[in-house]
Amino acid sequence: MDCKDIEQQIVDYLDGQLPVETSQKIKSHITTCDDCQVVYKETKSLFLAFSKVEEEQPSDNLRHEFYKLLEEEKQLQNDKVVELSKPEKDFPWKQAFQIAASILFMIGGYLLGSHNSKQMASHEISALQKQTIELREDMMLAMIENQSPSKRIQAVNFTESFVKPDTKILEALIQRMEYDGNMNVRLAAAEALSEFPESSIVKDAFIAALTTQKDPSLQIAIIQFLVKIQEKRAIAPMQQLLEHSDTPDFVKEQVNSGISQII
Amino acid sequence: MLDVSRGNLDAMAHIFERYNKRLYNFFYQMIKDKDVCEDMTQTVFYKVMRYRSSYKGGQFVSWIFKIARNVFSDQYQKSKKTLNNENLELIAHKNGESKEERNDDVAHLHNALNTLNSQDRELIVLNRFQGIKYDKIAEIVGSSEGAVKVKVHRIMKKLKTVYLETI
Amino acid sequence: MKRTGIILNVIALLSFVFTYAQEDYTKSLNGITKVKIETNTKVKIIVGSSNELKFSKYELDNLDHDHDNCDHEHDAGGFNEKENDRAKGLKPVYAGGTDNTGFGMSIEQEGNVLRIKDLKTWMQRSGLQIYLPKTMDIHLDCGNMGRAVIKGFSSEIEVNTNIGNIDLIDVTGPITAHTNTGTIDVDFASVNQSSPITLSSSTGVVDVSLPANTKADLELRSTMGSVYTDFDLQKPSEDDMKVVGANRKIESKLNNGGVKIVLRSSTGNVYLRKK
Repeated sequence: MDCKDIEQQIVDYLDGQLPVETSQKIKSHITTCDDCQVVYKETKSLFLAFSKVEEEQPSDNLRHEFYKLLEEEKQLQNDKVVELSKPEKDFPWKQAFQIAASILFMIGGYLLGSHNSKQMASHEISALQKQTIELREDMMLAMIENQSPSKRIQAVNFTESFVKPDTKILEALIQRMEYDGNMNVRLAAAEALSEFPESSIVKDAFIAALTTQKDPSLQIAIIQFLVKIQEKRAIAPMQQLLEHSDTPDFVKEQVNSGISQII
Repeated sequence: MLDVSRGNLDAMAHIFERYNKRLYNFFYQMIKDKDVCEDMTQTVFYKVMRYRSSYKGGQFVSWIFKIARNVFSDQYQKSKKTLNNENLELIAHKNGESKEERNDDVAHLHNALNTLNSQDRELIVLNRFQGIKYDKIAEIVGSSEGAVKVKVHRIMKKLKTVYLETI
Repeated sequence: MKRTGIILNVIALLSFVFTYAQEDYTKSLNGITKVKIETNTKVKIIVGSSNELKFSKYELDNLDHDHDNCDHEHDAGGFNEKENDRAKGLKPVYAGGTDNTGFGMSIEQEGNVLRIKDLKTWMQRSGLQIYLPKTMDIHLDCGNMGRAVIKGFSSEIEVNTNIGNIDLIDVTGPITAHTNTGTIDVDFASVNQSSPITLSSSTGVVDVSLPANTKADLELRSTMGSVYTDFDLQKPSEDDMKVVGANRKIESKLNNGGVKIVLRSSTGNVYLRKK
């Protein structure tokens, strides 16, 4: 690790984008090297200036104009639907794929023989499935902060179809469980998260939520999840719940039967 | 977004709510003219709506910024035709400065940003203000992750020098 | 005897109306798609005639159930603000914000959302009646003491109360309602298929009536209570019964499935009625 490396990596270091090892090395180098100390401080002051720039707020006009545009487009689409028949509408996804797949079969069959072409086609299918999931993930993230709680719940429900969701999806759900202004959204998020018991960030989030969440319905959902996965770390916070005077009796009942099942 | 590309326009509203502020600020950091920025933001959503069927998966944020970038360069080309470069720079930055005097650091940062050419400035806006990671920026500008990373580091170094000189 | 009673009641009611008569407050709702109300009293929201918001005095009618009567006595009991000579020429000042309505409310517009904050405490305010257009989205937070009656809306409704009951009549959804100890009663005129309906009470009863032809993906949960229905549902699977305590979850499609409807209570019963 020399000074040139440091200068190269100082931005990523400050961003926290480096592997722990590298960032440890840089940290120790900076404390011993005066030149790099200067580079570090200067870059940090630049970062500070960036952080002070405030986000600008577009005027209401933008929103207003957009929704006007959207209405017009909807109108247009309705007209189209009347003119065109349904298969036309489905065209890009179904037929295009069928055609693409059959072309693949043909070319593949010609070049590689039928066995290989099947493999290629199945590869295409899995690629397409992967894209669909990515799209649904984007959709979920796009809706999760909607002002309508019903829409937020819908976004949470999207995750039912995810087998192994991205960390950012799980983090979005955890955030909903912890902070959403609507209790039903929090409950829905907790239930959605219960489907991913193998994820360690989910486990940690549930253990933390056990001490922070005050709503009895949510407390029960959390306890049930932790008992189901036999989480030993949950015993201490569960016992604390028993000692709290504001824990309702029916929650305490759940805690008691839960603790006996974990041990 | 799957829903939008299939034709469900209600999903478009979610996309708008999620991205309008980001896109607007992207433009605003490039040229400090509120009206022009609103127009350009609107154009992006119009294009997303129109060309929704051309979205074929992948990172949505990259796709929408790719469109934003095209809208910006169209606008930039248009202004170039009517004005010479100097005037454009003048117009581009006149609105921002008076207002941001209130915060010295920010004013200096903007002065420093003004010394960058528009390609460099764009990379910094995407990376620093929009918080987009190198791999996605690479997708947006059609480059490689490594190249973007090296460039951003180089520009940050340059920016730092200018920033510290003027402070 | 009976007649005297009625007359006395009428006199009492009239004197009540005169003593506490307050001017109604109205406001145009141009450009507004959602109204958010924060209060601590009982609130009745009904459909008004035009595109405006109107507050008026709470009026008892057949939407109020028997148990409301005791509240009524309590309300008339003297916590209300009386005409106070000392306050003449002075303006009331509230801790929570500035009264820009003359009705003890603060109103602010944020984009297409109108935020209404009741500045009076539950002791100062004895109920509130609000008129809104039929398609206006509503978000009602009833604080600690309030309860909610909402009738006749075809828009999205979000209601939260702590101890108060939630009564929604002749609504379509989407609805998101939660109460800690109150009862939730919802009578659907039809069911909007656009996004989910979720009703939950921690300890109270959840009681819902749906048109027989409603398409829905139902999810009924009660941790310690029971679920009752006259719809034809699948039996809860054994798997669900095994979970700790009894997290009984019943999932079933109505009329081949549709929008998701979740009814949930931790200790109360869940009732789902066909109409």
